Amino acid sequence: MNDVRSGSNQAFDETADPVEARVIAPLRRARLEPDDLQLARLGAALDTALQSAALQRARAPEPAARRARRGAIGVAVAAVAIAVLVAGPWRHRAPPAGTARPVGTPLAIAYESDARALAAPAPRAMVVPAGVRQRGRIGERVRFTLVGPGEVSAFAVGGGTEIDLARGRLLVDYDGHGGEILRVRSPGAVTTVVGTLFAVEARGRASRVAVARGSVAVEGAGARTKQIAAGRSWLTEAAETEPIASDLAVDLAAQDAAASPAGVSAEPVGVAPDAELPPSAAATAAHRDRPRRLAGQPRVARDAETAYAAAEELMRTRETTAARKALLDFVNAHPRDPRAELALLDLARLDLEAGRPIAARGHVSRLLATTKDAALIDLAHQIERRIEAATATGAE
Amino acid sequence: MESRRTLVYVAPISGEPPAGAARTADSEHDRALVAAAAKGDAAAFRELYRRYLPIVHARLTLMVGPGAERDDLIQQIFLDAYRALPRFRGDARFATFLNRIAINVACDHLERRRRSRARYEPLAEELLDRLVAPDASAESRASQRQDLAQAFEHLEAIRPKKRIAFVLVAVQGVSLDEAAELLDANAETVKQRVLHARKEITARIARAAARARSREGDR
Repeated sequence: MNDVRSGSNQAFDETADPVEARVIAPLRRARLEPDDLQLARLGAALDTALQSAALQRARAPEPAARRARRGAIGVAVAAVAIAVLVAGPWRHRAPPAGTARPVGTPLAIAYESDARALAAPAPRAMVVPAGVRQRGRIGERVRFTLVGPGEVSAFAVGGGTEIDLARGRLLVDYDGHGGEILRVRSPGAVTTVVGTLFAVEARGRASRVAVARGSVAVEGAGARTKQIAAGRSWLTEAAETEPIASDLAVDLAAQDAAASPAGVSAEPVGVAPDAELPPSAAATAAHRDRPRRLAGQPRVARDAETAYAAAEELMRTRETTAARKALLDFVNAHPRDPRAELALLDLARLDLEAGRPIAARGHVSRLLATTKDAALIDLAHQIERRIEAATATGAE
Repeated sequence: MESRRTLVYVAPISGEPPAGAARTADSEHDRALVAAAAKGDAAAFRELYRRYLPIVHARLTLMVGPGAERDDLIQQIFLDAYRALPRFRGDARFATFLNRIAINVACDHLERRRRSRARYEPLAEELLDRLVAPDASAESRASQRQDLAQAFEHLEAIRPKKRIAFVLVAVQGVSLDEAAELLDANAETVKQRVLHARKEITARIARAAARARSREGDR
């Protein structure tokens, strides 16, 4: 037995080599490649996981050497920023062109996450250098991420909150359930918000506003007001709104994930002593726990992941009634999730197997109306043919 | 030795890398895809995934069985590969890099399964049916399902490292040298693992046959 491999697929004499006959030969005969449905399922699952991994990679700490280099720069930037803030009383920068300076009481900004070491720990303003993302909070209703180079400050104005974005990209998740209004002043724009997930980016003399959830009203130069719906963005110099650019959509998805319960530390760090505290812990919990849906780009939703995993498990264990319900719930709750297309395919199969070809046809039609995946279209057509055959024999 | 090298990809496992010039061209293409994917190009990584999924799927099916956990492990393997790509220096082929990850993931999983001392559950007929040629007769399909169920049951009794070496070398026809590279062991160690696995399976088959004869005698 010099060569421990038994090379060929010929019939084996079982008495001579029972391992070959009983184990190796059957395994070699097996069809080990995934079928189309498995390919589609695995592909969709991986897509979702990759989105999550890409976000984690984007947020991951840098390698030690680069971190050390950047750290030195960060310390220098932080020192300069602290020096500016300590040098005198609160000095607010000049208002950006096209917007009036907010008049009100400065609000404290609470820093969140470990990256705060790279940013100046300013009590009433946040300044972050290039390449740094700093999460923060204003009271309990405004959670945001400032992408550097950026500078932001906040004010209490007439019972509402105003954020002044001097530069950078600001991603905001705002809970307006208390009825308060949030305004973001940025170059050439004042964005008024009641409750939503959105981004404001200072771009020279103009601003870009993008809305992931809810809608906002933006007042641009010349008192021109634009209502921006979910999934759209508007550059204040442009005539019309447009779909959210992919890089911004990814940032918004990250902000949404960060604002969800698993993404926020239970005890926010670095809360300034004069930070406005939450009016009600229950309202905060309700805000965090409410269902979320992000427009513009399918986000990596933990609830969707759990729901789909549960449906998949029921499919695996062939609990068809429960699986059907779980799949239907998933499709209705997450119609834009890439896995919704697979769920529709599974629903069609289940209904067809259960003798409900008309219901199966409904799922297939819905799938064909939405999917662009060639493999899924092909599978949907196959099921259509089976539906036709079943209908001809008078099922349902 | 040379003849052994030519036997590297003899096993009838679909999706194995091509030989010769095609393999070189593929390696070049892989390198370009890997470089792009390492910089965050998701489309490039999806292309790598599309190319290598059949290989990983086949290997994982043999190593851990066709149960539901296999798909989760496949996802884990590609995610691990994606995360590790920035550290992949290209001094090995991407196929080797990916296969090493797959083997490590499979080995860890088998070790966990073994430690949990969970009683072996026979594989569901539906899972086995997917491994059987669809155009075979009903009788033949049933017979193949039974053969596969027995084969996986025998494999389940083998310790993870031996099982993996056995699958690579005896079932998939990978050379000892290449298996040694994948398993980060020397060729002699791999050979011993395969031989031990064979012996253990042979003994199991003999015991099962003796039990069957005993039952026949009782009747």
